[in-house]
Amino acid sequence: MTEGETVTVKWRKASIRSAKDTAVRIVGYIILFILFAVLAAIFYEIADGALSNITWQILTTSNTFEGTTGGGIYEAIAGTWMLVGTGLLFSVPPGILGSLYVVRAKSSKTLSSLVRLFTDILTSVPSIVIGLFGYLFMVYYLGWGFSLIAGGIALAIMMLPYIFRVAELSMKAIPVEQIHNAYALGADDFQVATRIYIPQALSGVLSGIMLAISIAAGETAQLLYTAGWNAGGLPSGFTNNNLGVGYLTYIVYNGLLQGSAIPNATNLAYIAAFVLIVTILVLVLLSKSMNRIVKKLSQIMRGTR
Amino acid sequence: MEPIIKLEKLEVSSGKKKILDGVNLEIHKNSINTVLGPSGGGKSTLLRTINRLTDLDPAFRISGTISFNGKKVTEYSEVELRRRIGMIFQRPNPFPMPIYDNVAFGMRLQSYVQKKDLDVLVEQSLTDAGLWEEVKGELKRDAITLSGGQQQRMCIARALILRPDVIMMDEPTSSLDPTAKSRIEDLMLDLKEKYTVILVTHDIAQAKKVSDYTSLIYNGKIVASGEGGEFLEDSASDSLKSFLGEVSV
Repeated sequence: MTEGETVTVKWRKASIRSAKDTAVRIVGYIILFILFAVLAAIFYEIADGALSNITWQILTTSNTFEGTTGGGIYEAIAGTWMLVGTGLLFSVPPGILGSLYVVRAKSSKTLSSLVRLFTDILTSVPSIVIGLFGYLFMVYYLGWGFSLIAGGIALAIMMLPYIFRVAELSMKAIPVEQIHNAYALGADDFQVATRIYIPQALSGVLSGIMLAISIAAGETAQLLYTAGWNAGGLPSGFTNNNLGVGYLTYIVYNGLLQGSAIPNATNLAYIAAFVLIVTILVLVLLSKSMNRIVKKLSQIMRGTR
Repeated sequence: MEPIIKLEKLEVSSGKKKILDGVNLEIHKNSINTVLGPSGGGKSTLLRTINRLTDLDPAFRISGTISFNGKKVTEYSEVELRRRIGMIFQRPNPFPMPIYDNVAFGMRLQSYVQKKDLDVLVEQSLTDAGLWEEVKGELKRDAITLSGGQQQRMCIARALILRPDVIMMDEPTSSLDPTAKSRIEDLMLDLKEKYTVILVTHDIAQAKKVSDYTSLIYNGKIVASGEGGEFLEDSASDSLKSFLGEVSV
């Protein structure tokens, strides 16, 4: 621009900006409404089918899928949480240790990229494929049979990437200066992990665990191949649990299949689905109100209390 | 007098970039040793190489010798080295915990000190950092709620509690307002009675105010060194003169 030349600036009109803002807000409300409506419809449908038939007896007796009542869902409720618990046992430690490894500056970049790549691939493997692998390798090759450990590990394979990713993101959010400061104060790798990374990422890690639990509790496909099904009592060990382990999603799946043969089977399916949804809802709400517990846990881990 | 830290032919590179190029430097005991230079000149890397924080990043390649109390820094364990050579960073970075726990952090990492002894050490460190009077009634307060200047003095107390021989300060006042900056500069002058201070800064006025020994670093090389800060104007190279000119204006 030469000296003395003037440029006319055309300012954006405030009215257009405000119209755009309003449009974005309206779209946001519509999306929110659709999400809420879908959730409410699912919950209403399940609750409607379940609440009129749910009894304490159904929740506390064994399932038979025979006769007129089909029994209860006791093993399915307990079995679901035993399977999820076993899944946690095999997914939380590697998930957290893996994320600690990849966020550490000293770690090999190649190995870190490989870990990320494998977890990304795991996220996209269909659950039926995990089930088939579990059946061929754990149930058949290792001879564990339909069992708690085979079902738990099959769930862990699916839970691991969620726990790893959320833990990694939470740890990456910690300012790098804090990490350097801890090292500068003489902390070693273990102390930086236990006093900085894990306490500060704890809230995020727990959210990841809750998410993984919610997803795992609702899985069916891989459990059909690995946990089998059992309504004759709870598993007494990790392997060869007779026919297998009971779980809620099997009741939902088989209850609808048996609907015409056993009059009460459809009701059981609704009740199992209702129990599943309510439990997951409670878990999500719990995870939201866990801040105080997390703060206390963090202080204990840092050794400041 | 024998220097407490001695750097000889120090070269540091990261990838293809050479950050420090044949640096020779002596750090004198109970003095403020200032390394002055423009941003991106290798000042922070110099400090991080001394306490081996550069070891955290495998991309760094280091050659030459750094000795501390007559022994190579690589002969110390990282933990002992960093306990004896404390570091204050550019931006104050309190951990998200109370003031007391922040100051006690390093001591808890490295010792099995009793609570009553820890109370004494925390008080001494906060006193040495000039913060005790301001926070003595509220040690359980979250450190993040302190002002920027107070946070930085708390970080100094956090380093002092480990009884280091040397305190390295990496542009410790660059994010502070003039009053807080001036307090930290006065504190440095007090600290040199007990400790050796290495100050890295691009602030020539600060160097002139506090420095006992000053070295100019430019493009990874020490281009001039001398006592005090007054010699700066006449000894600099042409390119550095332009930097000094810019800063002085």
